[in-house]
Amino acid sequence: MQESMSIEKPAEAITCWVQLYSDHLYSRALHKTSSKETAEDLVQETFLAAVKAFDKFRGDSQPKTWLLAILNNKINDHFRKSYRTPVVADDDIIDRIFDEKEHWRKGQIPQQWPEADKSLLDDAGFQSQLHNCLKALPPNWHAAVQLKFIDAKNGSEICQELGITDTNFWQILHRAKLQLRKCLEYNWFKL
Amino acid sequence: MANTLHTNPLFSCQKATELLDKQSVLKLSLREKMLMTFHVAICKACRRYKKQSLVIDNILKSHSQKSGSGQVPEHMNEELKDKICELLKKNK
Repeated sequence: MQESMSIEKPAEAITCWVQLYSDHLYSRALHKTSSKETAEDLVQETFLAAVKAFDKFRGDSQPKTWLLAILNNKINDHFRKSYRTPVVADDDIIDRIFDEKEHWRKGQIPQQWPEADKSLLDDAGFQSQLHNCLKALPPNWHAAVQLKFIDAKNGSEICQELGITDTNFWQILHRAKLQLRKCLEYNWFKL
Repeated sequence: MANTLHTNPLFSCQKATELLDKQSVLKLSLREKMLMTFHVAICKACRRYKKQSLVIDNILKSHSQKSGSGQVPEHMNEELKDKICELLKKNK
């Protein structure tokens, strides 16, 4: 630990990092998980892992970058775990949206969304609505959505990594998309 | 009776939307692809679903790639920061 770097004891250095970087890490975790409690847990786990792995920190990357990399792994682990913990759905969303003839039910038919004049994501109101809609998904559906778009991996890669069958994954993703679409249409576009 | 009445998959909105989302993960078979393309060509509601599904994909893509730094930074609870520091001291 005493080598060339003049960093004192790891715990002390990292305690200082808690003051410097935890808001940043927390913002990132909250942004991705949409849950305050989960974000707090992930930040705490990140610092604990950082203390343990302090020897591996070479000082050639910024502490912030290093911590963010650890946090990102923690976030991915979190989604993997919640993906694997299926929730019992009380009623199937497919039956709520489609009738017995497999047509859209009245009131579920997608409505025309108004053309946005600027990117929806630049709109703070939309951002927070999106968060609410994501949060309203069952945890493993939310996880499927996140896993699909983290690192923009392709489907088969994700499934391989998760050790799940492709079928299960896209079916969950499909349900999540149906619900998310409806939630945004109803709460944001007010249609 | 209703159960014996099978919907022709060509006219099933349920099937078509399923295939649209499946396509974003897996390659469709030729049959699936034709089925989906045909249905979307004749069904306005599913055409809309297709379009909105892409919009949502793009939103989620940039949402998840944005580090969250572009927005108002969030502040973590100060008590929790202290708690983490305490934990770290015990863990050294």
